[in-house]
Amino acid sequence: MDTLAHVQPDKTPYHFVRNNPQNRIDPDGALDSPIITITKQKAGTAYQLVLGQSNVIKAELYKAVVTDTEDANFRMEFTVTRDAWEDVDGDGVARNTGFEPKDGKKNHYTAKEMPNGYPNGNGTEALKLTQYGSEEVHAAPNQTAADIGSRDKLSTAKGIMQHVGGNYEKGGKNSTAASLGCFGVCNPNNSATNQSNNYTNTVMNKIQNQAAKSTKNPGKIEVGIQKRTGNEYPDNKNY
Amino acid sequence: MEYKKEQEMNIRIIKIIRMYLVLWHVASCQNKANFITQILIATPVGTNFVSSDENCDMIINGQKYWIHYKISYENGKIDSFKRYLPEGSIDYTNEELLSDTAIYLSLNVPFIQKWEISPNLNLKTKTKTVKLI
Repeated sequence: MDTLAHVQPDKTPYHFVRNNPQNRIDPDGALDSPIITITKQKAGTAYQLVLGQSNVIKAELYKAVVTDTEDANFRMEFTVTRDAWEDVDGDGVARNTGFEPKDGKKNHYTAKEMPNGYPNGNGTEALKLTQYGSEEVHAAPNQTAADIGSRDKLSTAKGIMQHVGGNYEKGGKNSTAASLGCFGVCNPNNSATNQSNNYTNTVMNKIQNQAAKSTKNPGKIEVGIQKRTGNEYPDNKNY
Repeated sequence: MEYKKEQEMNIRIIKIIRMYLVLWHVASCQNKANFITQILIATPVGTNFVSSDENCDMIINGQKYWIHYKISYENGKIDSFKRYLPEGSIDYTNEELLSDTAIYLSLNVPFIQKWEISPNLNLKTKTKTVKLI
């Protein structure tokens, strides 16, 4: 049975490759369009700003893979941050308000292109996650995020983006990205002199171009996020 | 003599109480007559909290607040709806608010509201809602 049956109500839950096995492939059960899978496979580190303080913290980078069921030859990889470190009370311990999907069944999102990119004015492309047409998406409960007010409900999150991460250029200056639960696209060996702006745009443009080629859903980009469980999700960190 | 002084003191106290009652009445009448112009939704933070350029902060009665949303009204209608995030703010258009009402409704922002700082009891957290006229 198709575990994504709830997002394609026009098809029976028992269909395979839209009943067209001659022309279509289905290596991982994804929908027709480029699908970004943000994995839980670690792929280096990058600096991230601790929200509420002026300090930085070493954050893990994770591998993201993009495939396309309409194009078996298409595959690309990039790296992102998944955690969101904050120290609002200034006790020297950073707490994680990073976004995690609620569960395996509610782990599928449609990415909406942000017309002005994000942040405004630095010319980098960005995507926003939506679910069932809304940017309020199911999320694993995060009490810290609710406590500091970055969420107004414990088990949903809003405005989750995939935008530039690590050291990046903004207004002619080097900035270090913080996060309130977004995914930061960050180049390997990211630094103040090797910023992530160009890398982010290259990644995003490739995905957008691939999405534009789709005959079934032109422009549509899907996102799946592998849920981290137990110790895979770091709750806090000294910095 | 002492009795007279005590009487004068009592009259003064009554006058002061009356003045406060009149001022309170005037203030509440004004609140009813005017639409609010801005609502800020913010959380209290420690004094060492460092704001980014976008996560602008404010201080009320010595308490520092971190602003998450700023909603401006013009004649009772939403003029701008802004969310502040670490790297920049996001402006929501009226079309976006209408097409994705979860953004607006889940904040439970009323159109007419007196100035208040109150704990949001629904969340059962330390979150505070700050609403300004």
